[in-house]
Amino acid sequence: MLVLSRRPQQSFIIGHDIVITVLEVNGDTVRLGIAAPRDVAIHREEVYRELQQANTTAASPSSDAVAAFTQRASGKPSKDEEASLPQE
Amino acid sequence: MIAADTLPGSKTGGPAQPVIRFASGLVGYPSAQRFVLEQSDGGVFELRGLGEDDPDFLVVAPAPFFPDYAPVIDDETVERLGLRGEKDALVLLVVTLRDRPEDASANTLAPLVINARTRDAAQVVLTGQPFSLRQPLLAS
Repeated sequence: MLVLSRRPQQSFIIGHDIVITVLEVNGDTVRLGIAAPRDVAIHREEVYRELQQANTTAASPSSDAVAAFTQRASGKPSKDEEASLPQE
Repeated sequence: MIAADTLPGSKTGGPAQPVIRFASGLVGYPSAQRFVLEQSDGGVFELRGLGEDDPDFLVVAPAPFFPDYAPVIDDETVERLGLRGEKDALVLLVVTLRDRPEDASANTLAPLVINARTRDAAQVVLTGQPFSLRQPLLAS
């Protein structure tokens, strides 16, 4: 990892168009300003990791699970409930 | 380019499906950038990735499940997606299904925001707002 020291109001440039500026240092908190092109998404790392896991867990559900959920969400009885109805 | 990118109609001969473009992909799926949205029952939609290895997602409109859900979209996102007003923004929540349907949850912290006019879309993290990555959907 590259390690650099900066003072408040000093910046880094990453590539040609991402500028990171140290705005304020207060105890154990550093405030940074980030200027980047619109198509560069910026996330706090822990949030990114959690979201990545959430998306991976959500991705490509089985068609059975989708059918069961859709049935519940639309207020129709599930197959199990139908099956347990008394026979006429 | 303004013209909406469309796919031919489905096999049932329905209208052409507009392609929704996530320029940055989704977190965890950076290359999944083109999707179509198919409506199912009960406010539920399927977001289908068009690339060979792209994921599909089950998504819901917030209103039937969370009537009070009122996310604030930050200015950067508004500008990035070219949103001109609230009516432009279609907000959908990614659903995580588990073994039992009643354990399904929705990601209210990082909704999908789609510009209904241009079909440009992004998954937006609502930093600082009181939402959850796993909000139960079917409260019993």
